[in-house]
Amino acid sequence: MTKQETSLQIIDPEQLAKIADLQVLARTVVEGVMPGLHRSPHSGSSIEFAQYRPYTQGDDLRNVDWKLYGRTDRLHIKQYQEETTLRCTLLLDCSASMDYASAGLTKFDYARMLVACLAMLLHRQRDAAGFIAYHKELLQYIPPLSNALHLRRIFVELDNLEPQGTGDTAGALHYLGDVLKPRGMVVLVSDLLHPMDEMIEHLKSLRARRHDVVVLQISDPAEQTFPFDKSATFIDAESGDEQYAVPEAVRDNYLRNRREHFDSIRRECLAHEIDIAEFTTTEPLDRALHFFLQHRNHALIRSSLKSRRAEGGGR
Amino acid sequence: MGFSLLAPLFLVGAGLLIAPYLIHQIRRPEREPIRFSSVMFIPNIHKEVIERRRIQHILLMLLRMLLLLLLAAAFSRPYWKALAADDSELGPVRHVVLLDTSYSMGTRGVFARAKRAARGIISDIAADEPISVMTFAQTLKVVAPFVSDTDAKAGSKEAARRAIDAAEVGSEGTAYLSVLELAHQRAAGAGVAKQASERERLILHLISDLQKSGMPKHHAGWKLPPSVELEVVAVQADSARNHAVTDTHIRKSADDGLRVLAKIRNWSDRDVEDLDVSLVLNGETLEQHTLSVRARSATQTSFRLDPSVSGTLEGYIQLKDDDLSIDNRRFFAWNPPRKMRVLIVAEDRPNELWPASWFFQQALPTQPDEGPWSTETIRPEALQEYLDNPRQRPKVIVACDLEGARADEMRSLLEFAGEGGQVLFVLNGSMEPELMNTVLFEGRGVTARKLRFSKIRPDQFEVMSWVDLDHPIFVPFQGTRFNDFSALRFYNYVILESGEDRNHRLGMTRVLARFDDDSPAMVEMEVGAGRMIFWPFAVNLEWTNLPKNPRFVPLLYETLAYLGDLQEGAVTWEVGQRVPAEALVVDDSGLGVIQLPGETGDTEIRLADEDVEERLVLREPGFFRTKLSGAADWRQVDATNVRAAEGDLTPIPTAEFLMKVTTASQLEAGRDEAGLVGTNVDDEGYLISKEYGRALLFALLAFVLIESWYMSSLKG
Repeated sequence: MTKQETSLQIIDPEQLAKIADLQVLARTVVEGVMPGLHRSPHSGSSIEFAQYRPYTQGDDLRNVDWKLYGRTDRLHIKQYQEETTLRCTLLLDCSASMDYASAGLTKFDYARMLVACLAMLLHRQRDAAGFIAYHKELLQYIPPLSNALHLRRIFVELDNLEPQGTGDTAGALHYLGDVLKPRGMVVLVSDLLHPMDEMIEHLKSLRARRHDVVVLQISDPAEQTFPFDKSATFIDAESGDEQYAVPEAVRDNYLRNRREHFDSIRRECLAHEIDIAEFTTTEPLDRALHFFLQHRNHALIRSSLKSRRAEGGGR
Repeated sequence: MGFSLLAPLFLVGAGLLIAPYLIHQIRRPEREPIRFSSVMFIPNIHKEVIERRRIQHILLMLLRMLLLLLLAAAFSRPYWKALAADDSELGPVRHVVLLDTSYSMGTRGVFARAKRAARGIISDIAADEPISVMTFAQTLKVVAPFVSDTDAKAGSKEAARRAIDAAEVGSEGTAYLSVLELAHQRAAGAGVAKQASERERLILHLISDLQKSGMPKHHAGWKLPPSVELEVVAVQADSARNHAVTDTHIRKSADDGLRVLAKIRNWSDRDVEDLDVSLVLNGETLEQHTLSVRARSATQTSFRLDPSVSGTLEGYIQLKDDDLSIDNRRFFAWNPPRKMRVLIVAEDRPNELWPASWFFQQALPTQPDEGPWSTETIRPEALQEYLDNPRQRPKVIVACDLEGARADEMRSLLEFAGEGGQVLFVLNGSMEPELMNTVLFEGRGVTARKLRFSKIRPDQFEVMSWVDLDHPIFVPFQGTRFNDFSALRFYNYVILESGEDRNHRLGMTRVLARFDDDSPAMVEMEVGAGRMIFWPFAVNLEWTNLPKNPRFVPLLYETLAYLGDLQEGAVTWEVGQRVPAEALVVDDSGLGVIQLPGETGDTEIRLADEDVEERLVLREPGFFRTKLSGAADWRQVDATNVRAAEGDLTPIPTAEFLMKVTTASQLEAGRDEAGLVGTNVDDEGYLISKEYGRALLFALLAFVLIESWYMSSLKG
């Protein structure tokens, strides 16, 4: 068992939720995740040097400038131009459907913690983190920046959010497409319980503008298994629609419909190089962060390769 | 006629019907809407489905209400009541005076009161109404029949009075139900009935002490028809003292002597002190005990007979007198077992140390006082001579060692059995199966085959794995310590085949035991009036270890006792019983001599006599003796006693008596004074024709099953 796997098991979402301060929470998670995870995407030294930064735990020792260490007796990491330009925007779905919990955490609580952790992670990596909260309307937009004050602002906004109303992911993506500069990274955190066609179109549009797009789907365990045993009327959290059902009778159909819905989203995403993963509210946050970090590294590699190809082409 | 309820209060339980409704209402909140993240994946259920489910739930609720209704109805015990007879439709009346003459009526003063009551009843009957008088105990006797002539009706009262005056207490017990049924049949079948209209009334005037012991514990279901009225006059002693000898037995004691056991019962409510109990044997008082018997209980005493006492024993146990004396003496008899002549037929084998006949001779002692048989061993050549001579003719023949038995020997044995003789036939290897099949077994369901083993080896044998423990031979072996015959080893035997099933008889053949290979190890065959039992193995140590096994002697004894119908002791008869013809000792012409108790001298009876049935009824306690015509000694002596339970003078309440024998119409008039309660009659005096409580409970059970099934189908 690796150290990374061990750390994945020790962060329980429900225990984390007891930490009131999102910043502290995010720091707790991120510091647990960082060791061994943060691996440099660079394979050579042809990328343009940008600056030194102090070594932090988890940095690849290969990037330590040992000569500088010999002179100053302090560890510093070499940073390159591409690394510092990652601009990541985190989209958080604040619709009423996110306010559902069969037990323990609501999907919104989980998503909020996830977004906070991602923001903290980005900040630690000296990346720029932006934030959009939406339901049927745009609730909040914080453009990507990489300073601590900015991070604090994101946490404050996260704290103040309450899930309500219907969700309009397509509208939020549309807005993001208008305001975002090219070659950034977009992370959508949502339960994806909306009509998919328009949302997919906007995700494709973002991809077309060279954004790396990651979709983190948040689910509740009850949504995945439909464990109810007594017939009842079910009320849609967003629309208020009522649907009478005998669970034993409709369970198979429910699970099939749900699987078809998400399979089709997944197919569309993968067809357009959009990474997508599903997280359950009982799942440790580490996995989500790990998934994100991996994707970020791939994105940086892609970005640097494109940059190098562009430079080589100019000669 | 109509429905009514025996326990209507239980209908209050029907109020529980509200329970299912409340439960269905209470359970509703559980179906309050559930807020869910999205219903977009939940398939639509059509309105009809919802409606159907609603109806299903209503049906379920109704089903549960029905269950409770059934439960309440079952406990309220609905019944169908029979109609009481309509007095206006009744016609002329006939009277039957039934006077109890059972021996319990001999209690001091009771029978005189009964006679007075009978005379009073006769006096009260109108002059033109026909009267019949019948006396009864265990049987019914018409002592003054109906007279059909109108002019003679006036004289019938006088005849009835004379019959009452002449009536005497007998020795029989009481059987109310059978007597009443018989009395009704006799009265209905009398000549007067033919002239009477169908609406004619019959009134039975029963005068009895209404003993509880005279009524069967389990009701037979018969009741007097509604057209018959029953008036009961109970005549009982105010406080009678009665002790009785209710049982006597003769048992063999450890020293081969005999013991007479007597049970003394005190029927009364007072303890009896210093009760003298005497043993009188062959007319001589041998021993006397003094006992104390507590009220309503019994005690047992035993008298030891001197071992020198032999031969037929006739005696009785005598108590000192009380209010009812007839049951103070109880007779017993004991007949020594008759010697049975057993002929052992075997080859003379001087060169063999242990020939088969030797084992039989050792097992069946020849000394006269050593067993119930006298044995003689002969060679097969002499068999026919013995059979032809009546003086030498045996009861049982044991053919234990016939060297290659010839057809004429087999035919002799078969003929002997056909005439009532008994044969134990031991097969061996020298007998030809074909000859046996032709002469012995043909048409009798048995076939002899080859020998089981061609060569005898000590390590090659079969065991006896099954015996018919219900057969009289094996009854003494039924105990778990004795029923294992698997220690017996059979190194060879003749394979027999029988057409019968394992446990059932087929025709004249019965398999009594089987070897492990399912081949019969012992076969009984009926031949004419006699029997033959076959052992398919030679009784020598080369073929079997049976002779040196501890089971050999008892098995041989039981086999011979079964074949010879060996009996000892005696049968105890009861006054009122009719002696069955097979209990008589008769000669070839069906002639036997009997001496019945109470009669003086011998009476020769032929079974073909017309009145033999009437003559063979035991009327008095004493000794019942039988012998062959012309014989000097009595062959069998049995004791006859009064019915012991009749001594219990505990009366049955009149109301209960009426309820047991009459229907609603007969009870209606006197129900208030009778204070009727109980089983077959409701509070209004109607007969409970059919009660439905149990049927409803069964219906309830069925509905519970339906409800369970319905619930599971709803969940599915």
